Amino acid sequence: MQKDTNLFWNLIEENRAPLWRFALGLTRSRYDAKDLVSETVLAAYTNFPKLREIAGFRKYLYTIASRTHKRKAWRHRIFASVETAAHLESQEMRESSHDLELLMKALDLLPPKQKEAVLLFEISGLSLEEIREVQGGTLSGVKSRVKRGREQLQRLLADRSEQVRLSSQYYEFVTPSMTLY
Amino acid sequence: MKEELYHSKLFSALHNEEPTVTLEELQLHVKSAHIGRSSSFRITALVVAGIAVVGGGYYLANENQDQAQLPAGIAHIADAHKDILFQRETNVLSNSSASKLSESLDATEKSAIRSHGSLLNAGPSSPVAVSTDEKGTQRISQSSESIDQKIVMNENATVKSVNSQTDNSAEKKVKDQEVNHNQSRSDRSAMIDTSRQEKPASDRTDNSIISIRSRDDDNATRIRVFAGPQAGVIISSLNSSGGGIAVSFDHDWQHVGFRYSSTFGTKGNSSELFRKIPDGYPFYYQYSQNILEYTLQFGATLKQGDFWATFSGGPNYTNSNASTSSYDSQIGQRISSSYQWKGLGASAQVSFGYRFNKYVGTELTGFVSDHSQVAYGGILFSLVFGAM
Repeated sequence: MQKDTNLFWNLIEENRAPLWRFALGLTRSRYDAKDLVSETVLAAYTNFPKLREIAGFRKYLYTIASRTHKRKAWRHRIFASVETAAHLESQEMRESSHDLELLMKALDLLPPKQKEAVLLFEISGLSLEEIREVQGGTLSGVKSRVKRGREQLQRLLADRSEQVRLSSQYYEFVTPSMTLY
Repeated sequence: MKEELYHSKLFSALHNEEPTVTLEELQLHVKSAHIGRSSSFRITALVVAGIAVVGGGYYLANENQDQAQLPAGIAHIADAHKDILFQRETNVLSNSSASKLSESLDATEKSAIRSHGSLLNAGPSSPVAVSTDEKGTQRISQSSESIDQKIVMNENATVKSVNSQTDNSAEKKVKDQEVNHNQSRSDRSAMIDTSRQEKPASDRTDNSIISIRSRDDDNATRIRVFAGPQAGVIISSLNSSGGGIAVSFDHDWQHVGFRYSSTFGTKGNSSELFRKIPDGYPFYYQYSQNILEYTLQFGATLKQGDFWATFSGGPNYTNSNASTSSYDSQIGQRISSSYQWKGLGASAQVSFGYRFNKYVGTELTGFVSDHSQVAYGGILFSLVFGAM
């Protein structure tokens, strides 16, 4: 048991940074990302003895993170007030670098599943097959999602970079929106 | 190409973000979560094999008053016995003259029967009527509003009895039979009178609900509580068994549960309610009661390792069906009556459980349920399945 616990925390340490970045990309908030990572790790720890293959740990971890985020987003949509969300968002914006903020806003405009696929591929470094296992569906569907997501992201970022060039207050061009599932 | 570079640069911005959560924080979070709250969900299958659930009744009775003042459930039991006596009286008289039936009963008994009928039917008085159909079969019935109380008489033996009366070749035999009947009736009356006289209230030690029949015995106002059975056979000799299912949720110490249980019990000739029957007398009767209970329980659960203890209480809804059936093989008649009572009450219970593993456990529950008409309790042995 002790051995399992040590192994678990070693695996968590290996995946801590990419998992946190994935969470940040999903939530656009460092606070929410921290919460999401904590809850993911807790759920992963609880069910870790049931995990049959250590090789599948990454997929296992990101599947939990993805589902936890969807559940939290659903709850947020019901219980959180719009004002609170807007306040937190503006606070986060001030704390973020411009590049990161631009990226996250562009990501937010993608369909949820596409956004998740792009983050898993670009940020977490999961393979297409692993993403398929996390998201379900077919491999061609995952490929299509990643490809279209990247293309749309490029288009959005190009448009915005142009807007940024034309206006110093670039962030006003982007309508804040919450990613809801 | 330029966009690709810009794209990569933006992703690198996210790649360069350092996590704000450390491994120590995550470990602390996991540890505190596991020490703190834990929720469990259980489905409990109640197995009540050979362990009784029933009990007796709870009543406040003024022995001096008419039976109509008794709670309906008790009145029913008493009334059932009245029916038996009444029918037996009728059968004896039927061989000579059905028209003299009502005259054969004493005024007190007739009055009691009528008042019981009106009480149970919650309607106007339903006088007892005796009729003879074309086959010579006698039927004793109350008014059509009498739904709860049914008296059905077996026809065969009566037919035989009536026919034999008209058969000249069997005239002597019939006379002998009448003598026997009258003798039995006299014996029984003597027995009843004896029991009435010999059992003052202070001497009554039985715990049977059936003892309400002795309302004529004394003038005391009594409050009696009949507790439930403990194991195998209940106090009133009502053998019972049953089963059910319970679903409960525990979160921390908080407990919410729902229990459904069904109990069926029977009682035979030895019941004091129906009085002692002389050995060899061909008369058989059976009292049975079925209780369905639905209860919602709120309480607290204490856990220690693999053991837990739950204390809870709450409202319940009970549906009780009691029936009496008797058969006299000598005169060949069967009488049955039933009474249904249902309503709200309250239950309390204590459970002690042990889990064998995360999903299977066992539980021992003691409970009591109280209503205006009936009180009962029992011990339930349960198998428990769920996430514990």
